[in-house]
Amino acid sequence: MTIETAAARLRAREVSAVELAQDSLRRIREEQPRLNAFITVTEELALERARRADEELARGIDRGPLHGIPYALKDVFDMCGVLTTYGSKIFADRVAEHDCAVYERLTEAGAVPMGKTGLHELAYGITNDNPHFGAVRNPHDRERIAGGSSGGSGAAVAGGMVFFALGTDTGGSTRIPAAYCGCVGLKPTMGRVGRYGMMPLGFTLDHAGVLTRDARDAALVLNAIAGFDRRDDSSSRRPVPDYLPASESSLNGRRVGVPERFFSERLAPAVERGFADALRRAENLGARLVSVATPDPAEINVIGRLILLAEASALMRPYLERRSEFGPDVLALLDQGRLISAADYIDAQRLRRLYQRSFAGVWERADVIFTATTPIEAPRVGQTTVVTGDAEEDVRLASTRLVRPFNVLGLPAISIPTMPGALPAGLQIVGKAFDEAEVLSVAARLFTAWAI
Amino acid sequence: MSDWKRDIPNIPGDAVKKVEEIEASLRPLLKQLAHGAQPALILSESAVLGE
Repeated sequence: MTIETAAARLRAREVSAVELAQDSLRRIREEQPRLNAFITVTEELALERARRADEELARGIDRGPLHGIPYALKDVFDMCGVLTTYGSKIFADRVAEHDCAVYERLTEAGAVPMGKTGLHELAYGITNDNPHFGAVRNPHDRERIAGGSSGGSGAAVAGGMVFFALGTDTGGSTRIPAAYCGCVGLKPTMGRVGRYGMMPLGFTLDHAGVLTRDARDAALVLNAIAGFDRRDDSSSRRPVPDYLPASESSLNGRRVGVPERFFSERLAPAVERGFADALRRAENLGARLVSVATPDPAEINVIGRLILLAEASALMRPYLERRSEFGPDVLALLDQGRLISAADYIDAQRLRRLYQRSFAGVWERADVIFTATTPIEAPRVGQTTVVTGDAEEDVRLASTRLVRPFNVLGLPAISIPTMPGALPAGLQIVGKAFDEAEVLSVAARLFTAWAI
Repeated sequence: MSDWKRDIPNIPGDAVKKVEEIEASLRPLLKQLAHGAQPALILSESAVLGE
């Protein structure tokens, strides 16, 4: 059931918000031992909010499409009085003292918080094999990772525990779990959603992200959380349009850019099949496929990795003496970040601007571009390398290879699921800065046509 | 060139090697930054995007 369907049933009195919350709690209880998607379940709070949602609807107070809808927050978003651990041993007992911006907005929208989802330690990785809270498992195959770092949010949505979940995305952390778990993952434009009260990792790369079962649902959630927040220096003052696509939206005449190089290299056979099928289907729906020249994502990724190494280590500097309290992979990255020179960091930021300018040329030929989200399907828990093409590649670098560039560039990008085989894969749709409406419209049209 | 890195306490040799690899990947890209030319350093991403 989608948010739109549940919202209609709530208003028709076919179901109550309390029943939706109870159903969500039941699913969480069933799936938690199998998937480990949650760190904290806020059962009492959820039922209290659900009762309030029902009372308000009975009194004619309607807060909109998210009113009474169960959701979850990645455990990096502060909820006042609720444990917020960042997936870290260091912060394992941290109780938030304020509400973050997105939680304030979702509360205003009447949504019902079911709890906090698991993540890679400090959101600094993509496997979600967390040494302190355990591995989050993939709903399609629990021997495989859910992806990350918002893997708990991906598993909670794809596992039918909540209607939507919020994640974060610093190098693909919303889109990767969406692709591996088979749900929708939206990273809006940098500045579109306020980050106040969201744990930082890479100050100039972090985005809040949305995970849903359906592309139209992602638009509904973005409608609720987008907009200026004076407490976030990166927040945009641009007006927020209605992101929900018209139900009769079409791909007729839409120019879909297909990168002529780089993005289609070294894809796993099933991913390649899924991507080719997505292009064919888009064309059948009236889209015009155009070849576009893009900068090499490998170059953009060097810039992004270097910036993130430096920013994350600056952030965690007060804690770096507590070495035994970090997992080995995160500690290794934090050590590397201490070695980045100021000159390299500054030049990486300057290069970033050059690539942003260079990439802007793409939009003269295309309205959106399509790529695979990840070049591989979900790896197994504990797997560290994968063979792509004829070369062995680090699972972390492979998983971020096609998504990290759009954190560096700040552009909006969504992953929608394809099912090329037994495991899901993702189609990534990227748009111009602040053109989430176009990205969501194309995604929704494809999603509806595919009846995923 | 990288001796200062090896002098920092608690830094494993592998971290130095990894960072040297990233630095080596960055070097060719730096040719695009002509001396004294823009782009300047802007840390607010939304500013870069035209805000």
